[in-house]
Amino acid sequence: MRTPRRILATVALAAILSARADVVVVVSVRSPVQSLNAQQVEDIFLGRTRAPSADGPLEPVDLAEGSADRDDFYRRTAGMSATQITSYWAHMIFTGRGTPPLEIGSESAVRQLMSRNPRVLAYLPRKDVDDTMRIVFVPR
Amino acid sequence: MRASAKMTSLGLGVIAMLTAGCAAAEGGSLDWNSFGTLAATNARLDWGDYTQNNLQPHGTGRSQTVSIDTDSRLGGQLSWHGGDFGAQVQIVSEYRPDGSFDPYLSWANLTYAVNSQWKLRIGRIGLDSFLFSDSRLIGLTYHTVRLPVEVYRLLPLYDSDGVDSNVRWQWGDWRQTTEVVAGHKTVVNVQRSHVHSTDVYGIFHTAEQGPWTLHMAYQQRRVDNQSPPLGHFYSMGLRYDDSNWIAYGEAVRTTSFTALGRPLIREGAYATVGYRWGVLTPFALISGLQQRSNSGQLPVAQQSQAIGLRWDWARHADLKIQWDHVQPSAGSYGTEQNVLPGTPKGQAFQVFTLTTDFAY
Repeated sequence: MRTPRRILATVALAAILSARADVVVVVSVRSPVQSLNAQQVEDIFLGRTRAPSADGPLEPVDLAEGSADRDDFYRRTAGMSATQITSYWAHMIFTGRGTPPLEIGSESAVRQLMSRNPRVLAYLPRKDVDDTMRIVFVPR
Repeated sequence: MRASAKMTSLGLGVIAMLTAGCAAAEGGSLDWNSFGTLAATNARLDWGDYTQNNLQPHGTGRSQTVSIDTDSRLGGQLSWHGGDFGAQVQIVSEYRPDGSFDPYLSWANLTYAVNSQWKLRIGRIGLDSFLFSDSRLIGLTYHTVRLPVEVYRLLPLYDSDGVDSNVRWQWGDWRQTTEVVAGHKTVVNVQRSHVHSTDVYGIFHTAEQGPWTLHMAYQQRRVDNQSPPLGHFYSMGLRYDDSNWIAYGEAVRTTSFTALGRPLIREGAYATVGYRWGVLTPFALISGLQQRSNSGQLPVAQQSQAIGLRWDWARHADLKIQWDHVQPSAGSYGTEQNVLPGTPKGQAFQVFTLTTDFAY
C-alpha cells in the first residue's frame, strides 16, 4: 500500500517543482523583439553573441546567484548546472572572451530596470510577468 | 632587464588607457575579477623534485616534503569594456624561475570589435595552444588539481606580445572560432638565461556543438637557444561536457632542435573523465609523454595515472584531492628536477595533492 502513496507524493512534488520552475524570457513591450529561439537565448545569456536588434544589442540580466529560478533557467536553456555556469564564466572572464550578464537582485528590480531600458532581456517566473513585458521565449 | 622594463611599460600603458577609457567612456564598464589556488603537494621521492613545469626551480620530494609553491597562485584581472573597445590586464603571482612569487603581467591587451563576429587584439595575449592553456591558471575551470604535466609542459609559450585576430562563424550547428596570432616573447628560465622567442605565429581553431568541443592548434616560433631556431607545435583536443559527464583528452606533438642541432621530437597525450554527482566530481586521468628522436640528451619521458575528487563546496570555490602514480620511462628521470647524481632511472613515485581554488 505504500507504493501508490509514494507515486502520489512524487506526482505532487513534480507538480510543485514544475509550477515554481515556470520561468519565461521577457523583453519590454517597447522592444522591437517579438520572439527568440532556444539557440539565440542560450547564446545571448552565455555571452556568445552580442545579439544586435534594431535599437542596439539586447542586454541580458541575471537574477541573484543562488536563486532557484536562475538555476532552473540555465538548466533548461543551456543544460548547465549552477556549478557548471560558474565554471563556464570563470573560463570566459579569465580568457577575455566575455563577461556574465549584469546581476539584478530581484524580480521587482528586473521590472524597474526594464521600464527604464527597453533593451533588457530577462527571465522571470511566469507569475511575475506583467503587461509592460512581452514573453519572447518559453524554455521547455 | 630590457624585457621586464618593456613589460612594465606595456602594462602601465594599458592601465593608463584603461583609466582614461573609463573616465571618457559613457556606459563603459570596469570589472575586477580575482582567482587563486592554495595547494599542498607531497611527492614521495627522495632522489629528485616533482614540479609543475620546468620553469619551477624546486618542487616537492627531495627539496621539501610538502610544497605550497608547486601548485599555488593568486591572480587578478582588470577588464574594461566600452562599445567596440575593451582592455584587459591580468596580474599573477606564482612560483617563478627565480624562486620568487613576484607578480607579473600575464596579459595586457586592448581589444577592438570590428563587428559582432570579429575581434582584434594588441598587446600581451594568452596563447590558445591547448583546450585549457588560456585558463590554465584558474583551477575552477577544470576538475583535476593541475593540468597534466606530461602534456602542458610541451606548451612552448603561455603568452606573446603582439597582435591577434579572432573570428567567430557558424557551420551548421557548430560554432566555430578561428584565431590567428603573431608576436614574440622573452622567457627567463631557471638557469637565469633569457630565452628569446621571435616569429611566434599560431592558428587556433575551436568548434563547439552541444556538449562537444573540438580544439586544434598549430604554432611555430624561432628560439635563440635552439639550432636551427625554428620549432613547430601541433595539438588536437576533444571535450565532452554534459550535465553529468565531463571527459576530455588532448594529443600534442612538438618538433624542434637542441642547441647542438640534434632533433627533438616529443609527443604527449592525456585523457580524463569525471562524473558530476551533485557537488562532488570523482575523476580519473591517464597521461604520457615520450620522445621520438635521439636528441643526444637524456629523454624526458614518463607516464602517470591519477584519481581524485573535486568538491564544489561553494559557488565560486572548490576543494580537490588527487593521488598520482608517476612512472618515468626506463632510461629517463621523466619530468623530475634536481635529481641526485647517481640515482637509478625509471623509478616510480606517488604524489598527493590537496588544493582549494576560487574565482570571483
